[in-house]
This record gives sequence, structure tokens and C-alpha cells, in this order.
Amino acid sequence: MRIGIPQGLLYFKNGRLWKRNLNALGIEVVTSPETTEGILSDGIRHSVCDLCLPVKAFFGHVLALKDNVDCLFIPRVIRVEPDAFLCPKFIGLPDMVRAAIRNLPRIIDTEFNIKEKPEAVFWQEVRRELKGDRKMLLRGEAEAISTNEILRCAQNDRKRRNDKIEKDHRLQKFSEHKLTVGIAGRPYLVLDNYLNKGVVRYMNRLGVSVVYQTPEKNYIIETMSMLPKWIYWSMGKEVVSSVRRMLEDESIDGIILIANAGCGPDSFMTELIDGTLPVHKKPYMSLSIDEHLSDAGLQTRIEAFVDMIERKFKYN
Amino acid sequence: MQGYLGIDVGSVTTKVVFLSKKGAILWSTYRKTMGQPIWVLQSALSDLYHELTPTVLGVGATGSGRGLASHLIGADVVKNEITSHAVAAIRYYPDVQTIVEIGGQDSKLILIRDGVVIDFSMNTVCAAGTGSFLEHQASRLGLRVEELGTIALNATSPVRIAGRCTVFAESDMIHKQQMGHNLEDIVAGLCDALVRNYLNNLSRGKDLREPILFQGGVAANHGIKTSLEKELKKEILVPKYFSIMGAIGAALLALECEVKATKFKGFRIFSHHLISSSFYCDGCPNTCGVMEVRDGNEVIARWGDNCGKWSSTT
Repeated sequence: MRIGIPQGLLYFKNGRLWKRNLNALGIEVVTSPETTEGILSDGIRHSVCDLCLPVKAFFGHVLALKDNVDCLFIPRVIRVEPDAFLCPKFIGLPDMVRAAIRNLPRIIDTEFNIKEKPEAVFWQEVRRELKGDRKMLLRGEAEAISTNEILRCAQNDRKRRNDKIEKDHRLQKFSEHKLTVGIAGRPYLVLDNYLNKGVVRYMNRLGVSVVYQTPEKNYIIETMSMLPKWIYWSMGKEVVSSVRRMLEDESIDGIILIANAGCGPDSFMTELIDGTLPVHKKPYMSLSIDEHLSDAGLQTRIEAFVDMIERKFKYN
Repeated sequence: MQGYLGIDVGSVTTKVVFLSKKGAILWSTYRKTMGQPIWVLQSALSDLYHELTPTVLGVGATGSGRGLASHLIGADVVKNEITSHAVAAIRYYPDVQTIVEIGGQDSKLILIRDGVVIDFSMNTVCAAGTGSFLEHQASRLGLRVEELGTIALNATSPVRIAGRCTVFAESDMIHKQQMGHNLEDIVAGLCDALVRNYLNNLSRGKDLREPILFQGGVAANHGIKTSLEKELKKEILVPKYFSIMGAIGAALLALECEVKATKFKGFRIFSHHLISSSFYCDGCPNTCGVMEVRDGNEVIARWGDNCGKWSSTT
């Protein structure tokens, strides 16, 4: 049996873990290719216009996969920590996919809600779902793997996730350049080399090394307690905390926040960062990315931003 | 006559300047791009050649069409508009702190401290709050965009018009006309709307210190300058060369980097028949749009591809 994972949205956070766990169940995992113009425009054709860009691209990834797999892995992720939510579009993702695309294979849409059930239970339920498949029963090895083993795997992976994510997405290999710019934003926008409009590639071409990091849990908690009110979006918390982290990090010369134009939480985070963090201390700029195909505007802004930092060093 | 060439190919206008080795302006032109950047550049440069017969030591290109310009004529420095505008402003006003720049489809706010850019912002994707907005509304009123400024200054009580979006502004404007407001008040209302939009969009929370320079084509409009002063309660300076500051900056940047051997392709290319075209590459699913310029049958420049498959062949 082949299960397909679309290479979009939470894939950029959990893709490796999902792949490993499903493999451990004895299932062949296929992922869609990296986002391209073709995938995105297919996705846009199948979505309503007010969805955000990464969700539209996700539809494109589903379309690219659906005819080659027996089922699709699109869990319904509600909470990844007890006191915060993901955006409603993650909660409704499997339903939106079903409503938008016809002739789909079966969707494994097991609910992930850490407040109601631990991660191990989630994987138990996934396993139960997959065992219901007749082809699956033919494979003996899946039975042999205990849920405990899967859980251990999950824990190890989570530990390594933060530092691995950069290497995985080729952000770090340009570390020999002289200027370092930190990028903040949602992983599925920043790390997707097509959706980010080549921001990373373009900055590397200008001789700038790019850093992307997710701060640790304690640091996020500390950041939240500095705000007038806690943020109740998990990724929003990470974005705001990572900007604060990079403002403090002396090895980072400037920060670019990449916001998603169609994203409700992002429009809020951008304002919150402007209003509560000392962004005037370092060159800081926010870019909002949408469907536009011409990247001239983006390049002008990045070029001017890099120039600003360089000339500051040169003349001070 | 030796000197440096600065070219600013904007979305609406094309600016070319020729500076002496010390940075003095020897020649300049400001003309409409009219959607034909290549032809306009060719004619501007042929005018320059016939008037001065200069020796070009270096070339700087800026503006949204800087890529095209640099491929066509060979530029030593290709810089964004923000750096170019700032460099030119600092040359004429060394103590400048703030630059308001409103062009055809872009608007920018640049903050400078101690002669270095420390912050900037640009308008979002939409061209509301720029020269295009004014031009569009002027044509709706049956006026030329150049007339707007003088008309606005004669207003007694400017009407309120939504400046967030040209479509809303237009329906607001029609409504005000039908209510019987006079032309002067409506035009002044338009200027206020543009300024409000500009400040809401770009200056939120930023510290706009004096001296404040107002550059770009829209600075020709005294109505906008007055609205800006009214809104900011600060004095606005319009530099003498406000409309060509980008091109001056580009030339100054070329001068600054001490070019040894310029990449300038020479004036002769401008008697050639150049044709630009574009196509979508089908080599991979990214389908990059590739731009191409031909001189007769010979391809002289290609750009726009991510992988370099086409741009490396010329």
C-alpha cells in the first residue's frame, strides 16, 4: 500500500516524523514534488479565492499525488500544545480538500489534539485506520511494531527537529557569506523555495547568508509573558518569539519577516511585532507574499534592505 | 566631455542624466516611457550623443526597468531605487533625515540618519497612492495630470475622498461631483486622499524628522506638497532636480565605485533596430518567463530564468 503526504503546510514541520512513523508501520510513503508553478496554479484553480497561498499550494500537492497513491495522509491537526490552536484552516483541512477536489483516494484524517489525547494515542488511531485496509493486512511487519516504539521515535525526532529543519531545506549551506539576515515566518512559506518567491536564493546571490530558527519552548513562554496577552496561535507564538530571538542575537545583521498576505493571524502578528518588540534596534522589514508572479517588487525591497545594511557598515 | 551616465527606467517615465567627473549635471532628460522602454532609451541616448558627444566613464541603472536598461546598454552599477534616491538626496542635502518619494507606480519613505539609510518602506502591491492614481483620476475629470497641482491650491474646503483604492476613490469623486462640489475642492480632496493613503501605508509609527525632501514625479504637484505639509505639520522641501533624483543617484553610484573599464556598449547600438519579446520556458514545471532582446536576428540579451539556461547563452 502507498500512502501520499502532500509536501505543503505541516509537512515542513512534521514531514520527516510522519514519514518515519508510517514507514515503521510497513507502508510505502510517497511525497509530492517540491512546489512548482504548475502545482500552485493547479491548486489555485481548485480553491476558493480567499484561502491563503500555502493552502492553495497544498491543494496542488494533493492533485499531484492523488492518482498515484492508495490513500492520503492529511491529519486534522487542532492543537499541538495544550494552550494554543492552529489556524482553523488546519482543523478543516481534510474537509476542504474533500470539498475542493473530486475522485480522491481515501484520506487518513485522524484528529491530532494534544489537549484531548497524547501523541501516542494519535498514532494508535492512525494504525487502526490503516489496518482496516485489506492490502495492509497482508503485511506482517506492521504488527510487530509497538506503539511505544513509534512514540520513542516521535520524541527523538522532536528533539532533533529544530536544528534539522534548516539543513533539510538547504538554508544553511551558504554560511560563509559576510552578512547574515534572519528570516522569520511560517515554515511552510519560508522554507518552500517556490512560495517564498526565491527570497533565500536571491539573498544568497547578493552574498548574504540566511538563518531561520524556531526558538525553544521556554524562550517562547518568556516572550509570551512579555506581551499584553498570550497569543493563542501556536505558529504565531513561534514567529513573534523568533523575531525577538534574532533581535537579541548579535550574529544577525538584519531581520526580514515573511508574512502570508492572505493569512489572518499573520496580519495580526506583523502589527504585534511592530508594536511590542524593539524592531527599530536592527534593520527590520516585513514582506507580505501573495499570488503575484513577478518578483521585481520583492527584489527591489530585498536589494534595498541589503544595501542599507552594507552601506551602514561601510560608512559608520 | 567625460562623465557618468545615470539611467532610471521607471514604470511611467524614463530619466537619463549625464554627470561630470565631479558630479555636476551636464545633461538630463525626463520623458514618458509610454510602454516602450527600449525605444525611449534609444531616443534619449541619441539626443545626448548629438548634443554633447560625451565619453562615458561609467553607467548606473536604476528603476523598475533597471534590468532591461543594464542588459541593453551595459551598466556598471545596477541599483534599486531606494539606494539611488538616498544617494542623490544626500549629495544635495547632506543633513537630510527623511525622503518622501512618490513615483508612477511606487511610493517610498526613506529614513536617513548621519548620511546613511536606516529604514525604509514601500507601498504594497497596489498602486493606490502613487502617480498612476493621480493620472487616472485626472483623466476622469478631463484634466491633464500637470494641471492638478495649481487647481488644488485654489480650493477653499477640500472634500473628503477615500484614497484606499482607485475604484472607491472614483465612486466617491463621482458622488461629490453630483452633489455639486466644485472642481478645485474635489482635486484638493484627491491630493489629501493620496497623502493620507501614503502616510497610512508607509509611515506608521516612523519618526519623520526634518529636513524632509519630496522627490519623484509627483513632487511637481504643489497640491500634494501642501497636503503633506498640512498632514505632517512640517516643512517639505522639493529639491531642484526632484524628478530625476533616481537617475542622478545611479550616476553617482557609478562614480563612487571608480569603474576602471566601463561595460557601456557605446552609443552606436542606438541606431540599431532592437526588438524585445518574451516566452515561457517549458524546461521544467516552474515555467519561468524569459525576456529576450534581439538586434535584427541576433539575440543580445536574455534574462528572467531561474536556472540560467537561457541567460547564460548570450
